[in-house]
Amino acid sequence: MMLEEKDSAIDNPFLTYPEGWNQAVESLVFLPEEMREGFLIQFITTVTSM
Amino acid sequence: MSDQNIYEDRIKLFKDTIELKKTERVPNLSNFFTWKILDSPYKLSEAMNDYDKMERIVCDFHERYHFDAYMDLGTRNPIRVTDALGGGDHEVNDKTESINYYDHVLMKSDEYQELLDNEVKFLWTKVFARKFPDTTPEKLINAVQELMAYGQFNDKMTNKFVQEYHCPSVFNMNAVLMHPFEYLHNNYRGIKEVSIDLRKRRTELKDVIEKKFETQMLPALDAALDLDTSAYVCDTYFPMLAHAILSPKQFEDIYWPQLKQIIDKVVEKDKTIYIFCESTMLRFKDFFQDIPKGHVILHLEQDDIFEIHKELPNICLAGGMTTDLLGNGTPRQCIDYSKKLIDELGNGFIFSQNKMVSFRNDCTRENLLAVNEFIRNY
Repeated sequence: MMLEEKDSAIDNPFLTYPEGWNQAVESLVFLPEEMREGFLIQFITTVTSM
Repeated sequence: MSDQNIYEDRIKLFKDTIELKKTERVPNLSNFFTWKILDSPYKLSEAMNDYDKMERIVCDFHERYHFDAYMDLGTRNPIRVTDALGGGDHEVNDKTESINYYDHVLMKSDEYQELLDNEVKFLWTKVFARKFPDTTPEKLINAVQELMAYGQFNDKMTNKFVQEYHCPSVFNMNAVLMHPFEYLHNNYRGIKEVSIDLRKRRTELKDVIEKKFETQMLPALDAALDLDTSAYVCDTYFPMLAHAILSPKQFEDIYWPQLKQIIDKVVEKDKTIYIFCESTMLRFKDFFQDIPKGHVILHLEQDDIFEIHKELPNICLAGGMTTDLLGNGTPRQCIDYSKKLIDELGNGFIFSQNKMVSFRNDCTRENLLAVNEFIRNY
């Protein structure tokens, strides 16, 4: 699938910035607050490399 | 010999080899990946989705072949993590006994500036969104938990191999360094698209490489070099794949400036770097000729290791044993070639395989048993 087609199929409010991103950061409640964003950055870097 | 002595002797054997010192025997490093599964009673998908089965497979593999150390302890292809987000780019095929990883594009050619402007926003709303478009808060938490479970499995295997089998780990996972161009090539732009960018968007591509190197990689390198890695075979680990599409001129322009800085820092701190070279390296030999001995290990894949040895006597080489022979030769032929490797490469050679052994025809059990018995006793 071309990226344009992929993009047009993405209608996911969770994958927005900053709203969805902040929601994702806040959902990591099992981590100390100050570690959540750094962890999520590392996480998305890792899984997009898998 | 006590268990502790076996472990310490193995560490010393590797470190002396890296320093090109004369050793009593050559260290034997496993570069076997999914072949281990094919050598077991389990299917690929069964093993890759069940850490208990994978643990049994990897332990059985060690108990049968007795390598000194392992590039993989069953932790490659953590598909449970990406499956939790709806699936990644791996196709596990039990029928053909293969795992395919597709060249994929997650970033458009005109998005370099977006990546430069706000990388987190770009990764979340473009790269991650295109790869995992159906992510929900629940799926995200599940995937995070799977990544943690994967990390725990990795730690468990590392500790088990140190404590029960007295095999040192090759590198600390926190000391893995990756050139920014590898991200573009392997993950964001894909092989075909980034090849075009090298010609049409060289400046933007270089801007991204330089920014990622300064803001992410240099701090990671400094942190890695501050770790106590004395219990590992090497201090840092640097996998190379993207160089496969570069000419020497392109390598000098977009890859070497960063790699040189890394190597210079490694040398300055009297540390070591294990460079795992997929594809070939011979055309880049000139870049490595002035590196002081004792710091760099090149694990070669498709090169003629004897030729590289002549060109780079200052570098410790790993690899050598071909899957052509392991899969298609006789035990006698495999042993004869092993002897030639050890005799001709001399000090500074880590015996290993010339590719990440993955397919059934890459090796036979009979040949591997014969080779490893020979290596232990030669």
